[in-house]
Amino acid sequence: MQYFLPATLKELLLVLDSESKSEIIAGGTDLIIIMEGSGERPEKLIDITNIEELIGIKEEEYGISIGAATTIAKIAANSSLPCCLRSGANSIGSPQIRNVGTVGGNICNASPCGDTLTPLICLNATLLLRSVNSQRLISVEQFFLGPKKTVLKKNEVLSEIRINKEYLSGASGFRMIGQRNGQVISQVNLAVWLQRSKESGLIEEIRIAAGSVAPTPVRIIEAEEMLCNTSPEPELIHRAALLVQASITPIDDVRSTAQYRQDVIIGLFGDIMTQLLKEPQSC
Amino acid sequence: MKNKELTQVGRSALKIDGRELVTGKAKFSGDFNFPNLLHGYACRSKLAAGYIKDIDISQAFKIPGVVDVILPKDIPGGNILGILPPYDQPVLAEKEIRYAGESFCLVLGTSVEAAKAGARAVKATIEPIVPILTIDEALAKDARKIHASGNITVSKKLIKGDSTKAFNEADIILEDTFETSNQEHAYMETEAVCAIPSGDDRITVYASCQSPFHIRGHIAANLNVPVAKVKVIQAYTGGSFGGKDDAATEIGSLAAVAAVRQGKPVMICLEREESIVGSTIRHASRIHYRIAAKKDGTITGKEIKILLDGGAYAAESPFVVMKALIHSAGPYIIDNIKVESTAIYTNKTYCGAFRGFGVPQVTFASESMMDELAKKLKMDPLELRRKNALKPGDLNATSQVFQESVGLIETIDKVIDLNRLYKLPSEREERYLYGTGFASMYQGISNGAEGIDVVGASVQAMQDGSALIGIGLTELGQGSRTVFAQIAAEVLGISMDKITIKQVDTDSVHDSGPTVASRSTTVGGMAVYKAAGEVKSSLLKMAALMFKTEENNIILKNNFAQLVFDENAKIPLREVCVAAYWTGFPLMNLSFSKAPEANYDQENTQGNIYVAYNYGTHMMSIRIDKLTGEVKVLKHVAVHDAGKVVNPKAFEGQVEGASLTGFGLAHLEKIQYRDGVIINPNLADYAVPTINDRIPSETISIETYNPTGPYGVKGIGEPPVSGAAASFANAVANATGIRFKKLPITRQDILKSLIKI
Repeated sequence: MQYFLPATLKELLLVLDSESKSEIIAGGTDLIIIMEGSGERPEKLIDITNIEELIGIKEEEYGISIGAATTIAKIAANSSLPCCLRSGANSIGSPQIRNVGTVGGNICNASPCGDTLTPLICLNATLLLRSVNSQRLISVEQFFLGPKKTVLKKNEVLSEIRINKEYLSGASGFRMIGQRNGQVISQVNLAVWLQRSKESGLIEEIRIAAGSVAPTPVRIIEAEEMLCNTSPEPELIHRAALLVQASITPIDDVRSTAQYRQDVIIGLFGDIMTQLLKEPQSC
Repeated sequence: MKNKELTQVGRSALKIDGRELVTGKAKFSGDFNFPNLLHGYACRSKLAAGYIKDIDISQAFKIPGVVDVILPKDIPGGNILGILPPYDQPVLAEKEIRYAGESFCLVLGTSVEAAKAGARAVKATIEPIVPILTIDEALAKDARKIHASGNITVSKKLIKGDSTKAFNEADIILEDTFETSNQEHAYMETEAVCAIPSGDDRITVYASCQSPFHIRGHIAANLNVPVAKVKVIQAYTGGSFGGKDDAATEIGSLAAVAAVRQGKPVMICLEREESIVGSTIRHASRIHYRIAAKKDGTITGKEIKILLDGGAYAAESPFVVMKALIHSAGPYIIDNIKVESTAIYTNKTYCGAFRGFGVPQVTFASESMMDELAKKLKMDPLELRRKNALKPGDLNATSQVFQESVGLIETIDKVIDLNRLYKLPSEREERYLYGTGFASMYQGISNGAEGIDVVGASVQAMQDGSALIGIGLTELGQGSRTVFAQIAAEVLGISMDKITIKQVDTDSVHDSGPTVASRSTTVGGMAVYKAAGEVKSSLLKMAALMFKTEENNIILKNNFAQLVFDENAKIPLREVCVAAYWTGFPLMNLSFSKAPEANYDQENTQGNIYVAYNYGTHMMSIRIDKLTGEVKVLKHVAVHDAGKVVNPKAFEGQVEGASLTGFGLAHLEKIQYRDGVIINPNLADYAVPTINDRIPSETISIETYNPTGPYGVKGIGEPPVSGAAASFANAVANATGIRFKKLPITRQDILKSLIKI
């Protein structure tokens, strides 16, 4: 196995653009565990955490750009980012894991339970995928194909995550539950972003995403539609929660039964909605 | 041994090894490095049961850095593990695989990576057989025999009085079945050893371990050399909780065999997954419990059937069976008891010692039943416990009588007071359920029915007035070295900074048995007390000569020998030590403390078993989130009668730690199997409590005077596990109105049951 530590994006794209079996490492808090478990090694291991262009959170004209190799800890601590993304980041692992793990790694690992994925879906984030000859922007919703599967091509790298201005305003929240309180992997996670009309108080737009309840994180459009243009009372929130519940297809696994995932999502959804409608700024 | 004017015992002393541990100066077994060090990595079975047909090691040697592969035939001695009969376990499986995770060969490499890659390259042909995975499968009529002796490891009875009569005459009979899951020790440091052969045909093994003398014996047996050829040094040990007995003997023996074969040092450090699948865990259990009582709440009889799923090998099952048997009726006056306690073999990871040793399982059943009885009788649960509680002079379940140091009623009364003062949050939100649970328990101190209980300790006074203590019991984080230092400092009248406790090295300390059964302070403390007492008598004799007075006119205090009636007349102890040395008074002593031997009818388990019991009552108040099943512990009080407390701060630490282990057992931790393979062998999916899951434990000590321990001490290492686990289960029942009969009671279990209502 060869280990590469490119210093620039250009170098990285050149290294990536070859026939050999390569794997990008961006923190390694998932990848190293997989490699140790299987004993298998890629021909090339390409570490992208030394590339300055891929690190940092920058304000742009369109909104915010997050470098793919930005650590989870940096995201959790950055107050210019929406609440749901920060608290999603803060839910991941331990301080040690958050200091090493990166948002790009969390996305490209494509685990259904990744705690930054549902926040990014409800913030309608777009991903910039680059290769030596081209680049493309893709909605994060379109990125995931299944557990550990994405649309990323062999010679491509996720270089940045973009969030548009309109999603930086509004209120958002994130809730997850696991087997215990600390260092825990989500049995279910849920993120909601919404924008209310300043005049009427009605919800103008809402986006809901749930994780660890299907092969990929999922957006729950039916529930969004039910809540749009309303100022929901507990009764309506509960009906929307039932729609959320009906939209998911969870499985039994080592962390949770499918039944618990079905049951608990109602509570998590009610929790976020109540909080967003009551005190949207608390994060 | 009167407790007047104690200066060291009863004081919160700093942990004497604390500084090196927190600064990283302390070296653990895996930290060692030696020239030409080799690393061992075991090949483990992925199947739960099968016959080994062939082990092809040829591919392993193609991996760069792989040096050797050790097979069962390469073990010069008996290829045997097991610290007590029936000695049914091989170091490396030779013919049959009995659990997933069992080792069948060890690959040696110049690096861990090479050894591990080599282990992956070994091709094993194992013919699968249908594994036996549950107690029922093991006990089924025509079940395959996991061992030649059958599927019952051991079965014991306890019979007191006439339970049939008690049940015939009872006003109320309740019965139910309870279950508990396996629990993993999850110490911070996994099992690790490092073996170094030397030119004098000896072998030195540094080990993270609980019982260096067990390891020494196993290494000698597997190397086929005299025991005196083997030296085991306990390195700093990052937790053990009962778990670093069996697996430490396994890897200690393997490393020694490999080191001798290669003539090079060999290190084996288990990875976390290996530490979970290939090392003991707590016995899962199924307990059928019947209770007979009168209308006034007097418990007249109990009939209990305990089945412990012990996994593939006996390990310490025979002792756990006994401990569960003896403790299952609880700390109450009950005239008629019939208990049967049985350990079963299954094709799963073998079970062994784990803090509490069978008592948490039976206490969960017993205390759940106490609450159900109270409910049935419409009696206050604490009153019911108080009414039946053991007092000095009462016969316990084995008909042993203690005239002193039975403080159970005091622990209950303390909880009654605290509960009266404590108010659950008054602004109860719709979303939450609130409840409070109680549990009383007791736990025998000392080896008891597990055999002779002797500790040897040496105390050596130096000419500069300092002292060196040697004892064969191990420091595992519980603070025993500090406690021994406090006792020696108390006896010798010297300050703590002048005391050094030796590392446990089997060459230099007497075999003191295993560090188990909450016995260190009581039995070990007594040995230190006696040895220090002998040295003290030399110093008093010398000081008497120097003062030209009688010995009883002199006390040793604050590093001085001084006259009782004139504290200004004093001689520095270092001067007394120098004079004693040159006069020829012995300044070193090796003393033994032997606990009174267990003396009981082995058929019915009636008689004297333990030197003392720790008694305790716990209270736990919780809040349950109806939307998620999350439980928040609002208040936890652990009141224990542990005799005289030597180090209050360490006592608090022991109670908090053991309580958290009990909370984990009751709420969070569950070893999960699929086809006999553990599917959560890591700390991400196996939910051991983290710092964020800590419960707010308050620790209260009811000090009684135990005549069998120095200064009246007992022990505290294990007992709170049971109290916390059982009070949690009762709190959940109190909050939800639902009696959960299986531990752990997880968030999922709670939410599921709440939705069902």
